[in-house]
Amino acid sequence: MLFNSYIFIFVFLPIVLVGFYTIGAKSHHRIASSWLVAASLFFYGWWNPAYLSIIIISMLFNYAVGTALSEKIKSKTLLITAIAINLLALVYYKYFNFFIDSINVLADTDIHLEKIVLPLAISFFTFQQIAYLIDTYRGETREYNFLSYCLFVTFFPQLIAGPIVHHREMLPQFAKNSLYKLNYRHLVIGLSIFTLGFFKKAILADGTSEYVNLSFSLAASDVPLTFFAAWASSLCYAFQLYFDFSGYSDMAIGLARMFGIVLPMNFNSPYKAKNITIFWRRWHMTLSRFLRDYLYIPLGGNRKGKVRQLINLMLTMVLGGLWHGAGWNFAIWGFLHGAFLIIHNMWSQLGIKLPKLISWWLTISAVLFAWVPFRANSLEATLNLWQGMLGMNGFLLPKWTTHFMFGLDSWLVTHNVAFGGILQQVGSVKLVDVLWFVFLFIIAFLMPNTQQLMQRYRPVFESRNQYTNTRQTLYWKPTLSWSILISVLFVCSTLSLTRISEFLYFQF
Amino acid sequence: MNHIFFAYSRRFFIISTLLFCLSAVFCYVIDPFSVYGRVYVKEGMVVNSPAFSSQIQMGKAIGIKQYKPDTLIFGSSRTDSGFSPKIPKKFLVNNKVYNGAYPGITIYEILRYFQHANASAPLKEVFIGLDFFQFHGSHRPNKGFSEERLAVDFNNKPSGSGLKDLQSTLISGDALFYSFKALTGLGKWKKVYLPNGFKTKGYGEGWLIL
Repeated sequence: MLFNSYIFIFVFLPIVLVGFYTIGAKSHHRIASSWLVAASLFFYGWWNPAYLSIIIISMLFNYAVGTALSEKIKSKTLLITAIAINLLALVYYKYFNFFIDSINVLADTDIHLEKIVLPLAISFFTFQQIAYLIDTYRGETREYNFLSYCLFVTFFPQLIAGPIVHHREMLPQFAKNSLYKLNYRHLVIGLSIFTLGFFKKAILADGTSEYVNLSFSLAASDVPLTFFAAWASSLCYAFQLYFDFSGYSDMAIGLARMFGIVLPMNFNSPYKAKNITIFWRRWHMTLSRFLRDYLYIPLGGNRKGKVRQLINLMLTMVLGGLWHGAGWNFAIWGFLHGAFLIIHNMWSQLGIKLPKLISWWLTISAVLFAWVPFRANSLEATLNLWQGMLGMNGFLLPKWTTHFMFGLDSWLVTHNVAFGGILQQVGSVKLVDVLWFVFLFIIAFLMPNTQQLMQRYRPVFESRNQYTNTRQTLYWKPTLSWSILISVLFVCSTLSLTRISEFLYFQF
Repeated sequence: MNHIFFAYSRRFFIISTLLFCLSAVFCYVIDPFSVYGRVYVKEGMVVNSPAFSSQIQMGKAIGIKQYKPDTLIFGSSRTDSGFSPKIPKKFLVNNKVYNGAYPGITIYEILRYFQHANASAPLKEVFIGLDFFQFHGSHRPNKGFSEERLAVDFNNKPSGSGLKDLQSTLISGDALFYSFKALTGLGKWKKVYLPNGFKTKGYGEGWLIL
C-alpha cells in the first residue's frame, strides 16, 4: 500500500486512527499498541503477504538476541553472530544476484539462478535492528517489552523507506500514556506535514518524471546528449529524487505525528549546502547518522591518523552507495562522494575560503555529476551523459531562447553553440517547461523546507536550532489562511492520484 | 489551545470536501470522456467529447458497456483509423456495430474487451484487425488498460466495480484538465469519435474508406 493512494488515505489511515484512539481512550494501551502493530503488518503484507514471514522472523530473532545480550550475557560472539545473520539475510536477498552476475562477467561463466525478489524495506528494518543489538551490547538500551519492540520495528509510517529510526528516539515515546489520547494538536500538525510531503511527491516529483525518464532512456539508447540537455537531465533528476524522497519522509513524519510520535529529520534543504560535508549532513540524514555511528566510527573514524580517516571515509561512502542497491552504478556513486568528501577534507586543511556562491556552485555541480550513475541504468548511459556534461557532445539550445539573447545568440553561434528545435534529442522543451523548472528551483534552493515552516510545533526529533530559519512570516500556524492553503494542496495532490507512481526509494 | 486545532481540522475537512465536490460536479457537467451522456455536436453530428481520445481505453470500455453492440470491431490504430463510419450502414445494416479498436492494442486486450463486450450484450459477429506486434511476447498491455473496469474477469466471472472509472472521470486531475480543455471548443480538436466508436474523419487512406 502506497502513502499516495486512495486506499491508504481514505480507507486504511482513517480506520487505523479511529481504531487506535477508540481503544486508547478506554485505557487499553496494550491493545491499542497491538492494533497498531497488526495494522502495520497488514500494511507491510499488502504488497506480498509472503514477505510477512521475513519481517516477523527477523523481529523474533533480534528481540531474543537483544534480550539475551541485555541479561548480562555480554557475549561479543553472540553479537557478531547475530549481526552476521542479519547481514547474511540482507546480502542473500539484495546482493546475491548481483554477486552471481559479477562472477559471470569477471570469470566469463554462465551461472543462472532464479531471480531473488527483494523483500520490501529489508535494508531499513535490518539496519534499525542491528543498531538495537549493538546498543544493547553496549548497555545503552533499557528493558523493553516485546510489543514495544514490534512497534518500533513495524510502525508503518517509517517501515518502508525510513526515516531510519533509533530505538532511543522511539521506544520511550511508545511508553507514554498521553500517546493513546486523541490530541487535535498532533493530528493537525501531522496532517499539515503529511500534506506538504504529499504535494512534493504527487505534484513536484511526479511532474518532473516524464522529462527524466525520456532523457535517461535516450542516453541509454546511445543518443548523445548535448551540454545543456545533459545538465538539465541531471538537474531534473536531482529535483525528482529530492522532492520524491523528502516528500515521502515528510509524509512519514506527518503520519507518525498523527499518532503523537515524533520522527527524526531526514532532509534539511540539502541542495542549499555550501560544501559536500554539509550536503551529507542534510541529505538522508538518518542514513548518514547510521553510517557514521555504526560504520565510520567503529572503523576508527578520525582517531587513527589522517590517511586512515580518508580511507574510512571512502569505505563508508562506497558501502553507503551499495546499501542503495546491488549494482556497480551505486558503488561508483558512493566512490564519487567519497572522493568529494576527501577533496573537501584536504581543502579545509589549507584554510582557503571560497566565496559562498562559488562554494555552493561547486557543491551542486559535484552532486549533479554524481547523480548520473545513480539514475542511469548502465555504464554506457552514464558515460554518455558525462560526456555531454563535459561538452564533448556539443552545445544546443532551443530556438525560442534566441528571443531572450539580445544579439548574444549570433556570438554564441560562432562559439559552437547551435540553436535548434531542441534538444532535438529530448523532445521539444517549451517555455512552460522552463518555467516549471524555475518554480522547482525556487522551492528547492530558496524556500524554507517543511521542518522550517513547521518549526514552532516541533515537527521532528532534532532541536529547533538544527534547522531554524529566520523568515518567521512563513511559519505555519493553525490559521484560516493556512487551513485553506493546506486543503488546496491536499485536493490538488489527491486529484493527481489517478497516475499513481511508486516512491523512488522503495527500490532500496 | 486544543480548540484552535479542532477548528483547523474542521475547516480542512469542510474546504477539502467542498473542493472535491466542486471538481466532481464540474467534471460531471462537462463530461470530458463522454461517460455521463452529455451530448456534443460537431458539424451537425452527435459526437463523443473531444477528450474521449485522450483516455481511449477507458472510453471504449465504457462505450461498449453503454452502447451494447451485437457486432464488434477490434484492432490497433490501423483498424481505428481505417474504418469509415459509413461501413455499418453499407454492409451491416441490421447490426449494432461498435468500433472497439484503439492504437497499440495487444491480443490480450482484444480478448479481454471481447469478454467484456460479450458479457455486456451477447455478440453476433466480431471483426479483428491483426498486426504482428500484437503477438509480441514483450508487448505489455497499454498503460490505460485496466482489468478493473471490465465486466468480467479472465475466467468470465462477473467483476469490475466501476469505482476506478468514477474516480478517473470525476475526481482526477486529468478529468479536470480535459473539462477545461473541452470548454475551449470542439473546433480545435482533430480526433473526434462518434458514440459507436468510429472516428468522424481522419480515418486513413485504406481500402475500407467508402
